Amino acid sequence: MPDSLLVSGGIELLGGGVVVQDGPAAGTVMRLGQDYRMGAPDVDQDTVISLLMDGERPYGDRSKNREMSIPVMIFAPGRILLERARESLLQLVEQQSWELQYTPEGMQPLIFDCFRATIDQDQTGINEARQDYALVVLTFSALPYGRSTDPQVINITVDAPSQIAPVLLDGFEQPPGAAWYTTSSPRVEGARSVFTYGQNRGGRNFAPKDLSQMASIKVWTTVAGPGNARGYTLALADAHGSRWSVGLAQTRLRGNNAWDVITWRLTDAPSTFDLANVTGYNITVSGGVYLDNLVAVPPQSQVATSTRGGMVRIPGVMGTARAPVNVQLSRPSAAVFSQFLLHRPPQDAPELYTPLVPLDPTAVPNGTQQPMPTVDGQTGGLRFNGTYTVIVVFASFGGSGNRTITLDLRQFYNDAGVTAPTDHAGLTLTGVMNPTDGAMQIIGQVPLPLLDGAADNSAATWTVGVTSSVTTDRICDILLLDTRGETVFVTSTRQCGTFWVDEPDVIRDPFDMIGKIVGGTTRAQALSVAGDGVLPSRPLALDPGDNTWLMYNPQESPQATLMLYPRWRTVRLA
Amino acid sequence: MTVSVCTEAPLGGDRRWLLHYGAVTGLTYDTIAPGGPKSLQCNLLSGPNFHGSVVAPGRIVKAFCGAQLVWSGTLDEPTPQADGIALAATGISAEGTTAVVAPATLPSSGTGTAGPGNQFSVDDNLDAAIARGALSWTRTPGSFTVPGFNGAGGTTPGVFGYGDPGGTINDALQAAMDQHAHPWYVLPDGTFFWFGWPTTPSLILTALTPGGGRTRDGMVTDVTARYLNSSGNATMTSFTGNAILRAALGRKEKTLDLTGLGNLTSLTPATNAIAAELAQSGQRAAWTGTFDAPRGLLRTLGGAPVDPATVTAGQMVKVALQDAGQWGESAGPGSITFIVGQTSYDHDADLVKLTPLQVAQNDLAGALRR
Repeated sequence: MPDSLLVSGGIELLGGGVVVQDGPAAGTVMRLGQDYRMGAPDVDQDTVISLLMDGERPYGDRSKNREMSIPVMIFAPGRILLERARESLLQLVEQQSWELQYTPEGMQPLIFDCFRATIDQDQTGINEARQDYALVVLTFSALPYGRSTDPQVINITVDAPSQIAPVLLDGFEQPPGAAWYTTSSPRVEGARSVFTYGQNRGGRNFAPKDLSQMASIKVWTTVAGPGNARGYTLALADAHGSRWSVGLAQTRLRGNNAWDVITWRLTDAPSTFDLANVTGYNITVSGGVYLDNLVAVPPQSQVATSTRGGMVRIPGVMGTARAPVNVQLSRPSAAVFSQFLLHRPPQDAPELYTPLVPLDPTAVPNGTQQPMPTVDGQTGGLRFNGTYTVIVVFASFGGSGNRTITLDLRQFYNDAGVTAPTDHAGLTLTGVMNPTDGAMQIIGQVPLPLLDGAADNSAATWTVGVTSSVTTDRICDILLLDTRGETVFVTSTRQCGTFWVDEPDVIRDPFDMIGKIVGGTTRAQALSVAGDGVLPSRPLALDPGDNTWLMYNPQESPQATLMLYPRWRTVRLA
Repeated sequence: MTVSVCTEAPLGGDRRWLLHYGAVTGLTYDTIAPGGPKSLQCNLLSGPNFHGSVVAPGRIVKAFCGAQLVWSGTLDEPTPQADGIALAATGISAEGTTAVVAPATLPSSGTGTAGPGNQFSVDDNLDAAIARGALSWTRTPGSFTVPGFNGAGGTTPGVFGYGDPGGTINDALQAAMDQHAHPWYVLPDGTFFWFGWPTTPSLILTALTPGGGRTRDGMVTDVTARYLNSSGNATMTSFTGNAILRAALGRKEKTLDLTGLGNLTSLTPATNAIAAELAQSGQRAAWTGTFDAPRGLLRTLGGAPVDPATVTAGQMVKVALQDAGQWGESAGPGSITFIVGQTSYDHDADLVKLTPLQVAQNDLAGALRR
C-alpha cells in the first residue's frame, strides 16, 4: 500500500491520484503539490540562563506548534465540479480543528491535529481554472507532535512485585569481550561489573531466552575515563539467525560511581525478529564505561513500596515525544476510597530519589530514627536535589483534637576520616495537625540534601524520625515530593470506587488546560473531585521509554490503568 | 513551571482551578516581612467576555507549589481584557488593615495586662479579632519551628504602648515593630507568629546583579526619642547610635516621636523604640534595588537548591558577589548579608526578586510605611 496523506478523513492527497468518492468533491482528484512542508515542533525555550562564564544555557522542555504548508492540486472533469471540490476542501480546513493523517508505506497511521488554515488561491489563474485545474496552498499550524490512532494501555499493580520476572541477559561475571575487565567495585546490582577504557564492543551468546513479555532492556552504567558523553548501541540475535539493531542510546553520565540507567525499548521489535528466542547480544560503547547487569524488564517493576503504595518504574512507553496520559485508579480489594496521590518526579531527579519513606506503622511516634529505603540495591548517596513538600501519613489517630508533629530528618556523612562537630546534618519540621484534615497532611517544605556533596557520593545515608504529642497516634509513611514534579493530591469528601485523571481535550475544549479529575463507581456516574485536592501545574504525561511514578493511597496500594496515545515527531514507528 | 492557582468561596469550599478556564500567564506574587503574602497578579486567558464566578471579587485565591500552599489572599475586582481577564489579589497579611483593636476594657488598664499609659496586649486583641471573624488568622501561643524564620512563636514578647483603641490591628502590629523590633508573619494558611530578625543567613545567593548598589538614603546612625515624662513635659533622650557605621559613612540623625504614648514613667519604651529603629535602619547603607534569584542560584547553606516559588521574606541571605559594595556594611569587610524585606516571584521567568529589608524607600508606599 503506498504512502497516504488523508485530509479530514476523506481526501487522499497521495497514492498517485485517488478519486474522491463521497461528498461535494466526488469525482475529483486532489494531489499533493510540490514544495510541501510538514514542519517540525518549534522549540520553546522557557528560560535562557546566562552562564557565569561564557555562553547561555537554554532551559525548558516545551514545544510550540509546527507550521505546515500543503499545496493541493485539484483536477476535475469540469469547471463546476472543480469549484465544488475547492469549496469543500476550503470548508474542511477552515474549521477550528481538523485532522491530517499521514501513513508511510508499510507503517502505521499518524494523526496531526491541525488548526484553521490560511489559504492562498492566487496560485490558480483563470487559464488554469478553464483547464479544470486549481492549485490551492494551505498554510496552518498543528500541534507539535502527531499521535497514534491506537492507545497504549499499561496496567499497574503496586502492592506486589510484577508477576513477570525480569530476564537477566548478562550479569558480567565474565568479560564480554577483549579489552573488557570485571571488577567487584564499583557495582550496583550484580556481584561484579565490567569496564572498558575506550570505544569498544562486547557481547555474548547464550541459550535461547524468552523476552516476548518484556518491555525493555536496561543496564546500569557509569563513566570510566575522561569525559561523560557516551553512546550505547545494542543489537540482539535470535535463534533463527536474525539480527536486530535495537538502537543507540546516548546520555551524559554524571560522574565516577554515579550510576545511571540506560534503556532500550523492546516494543519496537520488527515482526521478523523472534523475541521469544533471543540467543545473544552485543553492545558497542563510545567511550570508557562500567556496566552492571544487562536485564530485560517487564512492563512495570517496583522501585520502593509499602502496602500503601510505591514508586513504580514504567518502562516501554511508546513514542518519541512525551504524551499526556489518562489514569484510572482503584483499590485491588474493590473497596471505596477518598484519598490518593500521584507524583511524577522531574526528569532530572536523582536516580536514587524515592518520594516514599515507609515507616513502621505499629511503632510509637517517639522520634526513633528509621532508615530511608534501599533503591535498586543502593542505600547511600545524595538522593535529593531540590525543594520537597513533606507529607506525614497517619495509619491511625489516637484521639481527636490537635497534635504537634515533629519530623526529624538526618543525613549521615559516614566518613570516619573527617573530624566534624557531629556525624550528621539534621533538620526539624514541626506542624500542628488534626484528624479532621485526613490521613495525609503536609507538614512543610524543605530543600534537600541537607549538605550537598560530590556527584558520586555514595556514602551519605538518611534517617527520619517522627514524634507526635499524642503517643497513641501511628504514622506509617513520609512522602517527599519534588516541587518540580507533577503531583495530583486528592482528599475527597466522597468515597469512590474509582478515580480517573483525564488528559485535557484541547481540541474540543481549548480553555481546559489541565483536564479533569473525577470519581465514581463508573465513568457514567463520575463527578469532579478537583475541588477537594491539589492539581499539578500541567497535565500528567509519560515520556518515551522509562518513567517512574509514585502511586499512593493511605489504605491500600492502588492499582492503575494508564492509557495514552503515543506521540511521534515525524512518523509512527510502532 | 511548578505553581497552580485556584479560587475558593470567601468562607471556604467551592475550590476551582484557574487552569480549567484557560491558560494562566504573567503570574507573580509577593511576600513581605513583617507581614506575609502581600499581592498576586496574573492573566487568565479565558477568551473574551468571560464572566465566570471563579473570578468573582472576594473569593479566596490560593497558589500551590508541589501541593503546598505558598500564597493566599482575596481577589480584587478583575479587569476584563481582549483575550481574558487580568486578576489581582491582596494577600492574607493585609487583613489586619480592616480589623480593629477593640479591647474589652478601655485604657488605662488595657486588655489582659496592666501597664503605664495606654498599654495593650496585642495578642489578646488579635485573639479577640480572630474570635469575631475579623481575621482568618490563627494564633497558637508558644514557640514552634518555621523553616527560615528565627525563633517563631505565638506570644508577644512583652507589653508595649499603643495609641487609642479603635485603630487597626495592623497599626498595633506596626507599633510592635517600631517599639520593640518584633516582626510578625502570617503564613498562607493563616498561621500568625512573632519572630526575631535573623542574625545568621539561611540562604546563599549567587547574585548576577549587585542589587542596584548602595546609598546612604534611609540609613540612620544616631537616634533620639521625644517623649512626655511623668509630669507631661516634652523631653528628649540622649542619642544612641552605631559608632562603626557612623565612622564609615558619616553621621545621620533621626528623632522618634513617642508623645503619643502618653506620660511615661519609665524610659524602657523609648529605649526599645530606639533599638528597633537602629535594628531596622542602622546596620548598613541601604540597597537601592533588588536581587534576582533564578532557579538554581539560591541555595541553602548546605547547597540544596531552593525552589524560587517557595521563598518568603523574613530570611537572611548571604550574597556571593565580589563587587557588592562591602563599604556599606557596618561590620566591615566580609560576607555581605541582607534580610529579605520582600520577595516577588515571577512564574513565567521562574525567578524570585529579593528586596533587602534595608532598601531605600524612595517610593510613596515606602515613605508612608516608614
